[in-house]
Amino acid sequence: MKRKAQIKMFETMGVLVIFFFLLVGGAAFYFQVQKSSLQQDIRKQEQLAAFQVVQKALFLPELDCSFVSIQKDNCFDKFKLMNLSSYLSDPENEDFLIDYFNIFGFSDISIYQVYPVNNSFSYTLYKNIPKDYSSIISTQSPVLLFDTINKRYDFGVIEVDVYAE
Amino acid sequence: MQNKKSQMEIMGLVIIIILVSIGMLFAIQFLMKKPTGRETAAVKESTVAANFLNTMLSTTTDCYKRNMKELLQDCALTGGSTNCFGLSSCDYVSDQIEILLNNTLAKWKKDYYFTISGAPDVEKISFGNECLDCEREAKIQPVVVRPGFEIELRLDIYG
Repeated sequence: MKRKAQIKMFETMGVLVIFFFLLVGGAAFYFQVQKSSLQQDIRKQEQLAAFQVVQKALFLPELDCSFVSIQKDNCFDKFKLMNLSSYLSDPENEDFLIDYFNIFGFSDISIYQVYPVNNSFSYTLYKNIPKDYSSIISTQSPVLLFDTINKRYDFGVIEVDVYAE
Repeated sequence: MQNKKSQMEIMGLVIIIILVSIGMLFAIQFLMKKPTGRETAAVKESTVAANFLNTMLSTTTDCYKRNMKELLQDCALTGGSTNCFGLSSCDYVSDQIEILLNNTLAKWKKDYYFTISGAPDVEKISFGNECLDCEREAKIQPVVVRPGFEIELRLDIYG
């Protein structure tokens, strides 16, 4: 009788061990899935934030090409761009850079001309790189560059690198 | 007594099957889940395609300071009567579009397919390779040549 009870107890213990083993395995799998899903969400949010920075840069009123209050889409005035770029890169204008930090955060925004190819127009509009960052998300988009002196529109590219902490 | 024990064992078996099924469903759901981030990439590609077409059409060329839109209109209407450095407007605009595509989408390693439809002379202008099975973001930009006659520029960017 005693032996039968011992076997019964071992059987119960065996069932419990297997049950907890399965429970731990399931929980480990679940948490792994959640972790991977969370990382994907973070990555998605970072990409959205990077895209927002590009959109904000494309619609900066400081750089628009407007004529008699009519704004041309997707266009930067080269002259305005050169001035804003030199102003933001001047260390004396740190307060100015802080104002733009609220818009662009930690990013590097550069604009360069690709057509006509014989012109080497290239400017860094804004550059604020953190000391530590986990990833860089790069986005490029075509833009028009208006040459006020020659009254012509050139084809350029805005390149935005957003640094994720 | 024996009957009750059998019932208990069957109940245990049912619970195990239910638990295993829930686990399997969970695993299948995880494996079938589409990779996230594609939606963001799709929005980005769509914006790039739209910006490319808009920007390209307004870009001024060296051919009598005409923009690409005007050269395409000339090509569609006259078959390329304007002489641009010894080339017809059709050949010249085709070369310039190729330069733009090579310096942007090709450089960024994006697969694309650019076509123009609506007139026989502009239909010869196409770049990239068409991929029918690929995920794509397409943008179509109509250009009015004259009232009732328009051509369509289409840019597909493959994901």
